[in-house]
Amino acid sequence: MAKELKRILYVDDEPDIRSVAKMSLEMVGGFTVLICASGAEALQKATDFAPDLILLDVMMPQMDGPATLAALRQLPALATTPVLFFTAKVQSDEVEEFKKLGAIDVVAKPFKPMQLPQTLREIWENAIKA
Amino acid sequence: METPEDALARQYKELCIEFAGGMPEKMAEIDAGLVSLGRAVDAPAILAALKIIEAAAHRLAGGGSTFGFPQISRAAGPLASGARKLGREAAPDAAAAAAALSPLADTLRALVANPGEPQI
Repeated sequence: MAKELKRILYVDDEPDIRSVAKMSLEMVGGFTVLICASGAEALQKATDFAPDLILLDVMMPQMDGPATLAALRQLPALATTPVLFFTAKVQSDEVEEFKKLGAIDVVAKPFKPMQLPQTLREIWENAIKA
Repeated sequence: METPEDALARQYKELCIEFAGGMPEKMAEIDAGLVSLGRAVDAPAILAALKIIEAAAHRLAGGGSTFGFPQISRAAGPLASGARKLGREAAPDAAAAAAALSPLADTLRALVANPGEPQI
């Protein structure tokens, strides 16, 4: 039986966006969510949290999303954990670039809070089938 | 009994209103960045001012679209990307940067002053 999506690590420097995404993922999605405000914080906490999926903002100060992904990949426990970029950069060429960096897909900003959990589940299920 | 969806809708609306209430503060950060830019006399000071402008505009751009104020997002996005681009120049010029960014900030300021109701 395919693994169920339960635990999500979400990294975003924007407190307003973090608040609404966390509410959406926990209240509607029923996920266990760890929120980190920076790539550095994610690197400190990700291994212990053991996420099924990582949702990464792209534009963050200091360590941006791609740099955070590269650093997370150096952690043995997270070497293969699926990563999604969460960004307004969703032109097809931009999405392809993100996939080349190792993301399984991209979730568009702005997002509809009611639909975000379902979006993640669909991506997760497609990734498992692939 | 309130469903999770109802609870989210209620709390989301509260966050939208909260975001709207915080927009003038973010605009003030942009204005402070523009003042710093106008006073900057060397590259580090110019870059620091551009960072302030970029960061605050980026927050307005991201939050605007998420919290039902797409017009704020549309105005803040070019300001954020403009500040970012200017900050990457090898020899940034404070006067040129201020001239390029001020009209964008003016547009954004007018929208922040009258954001209307969130479109959610």
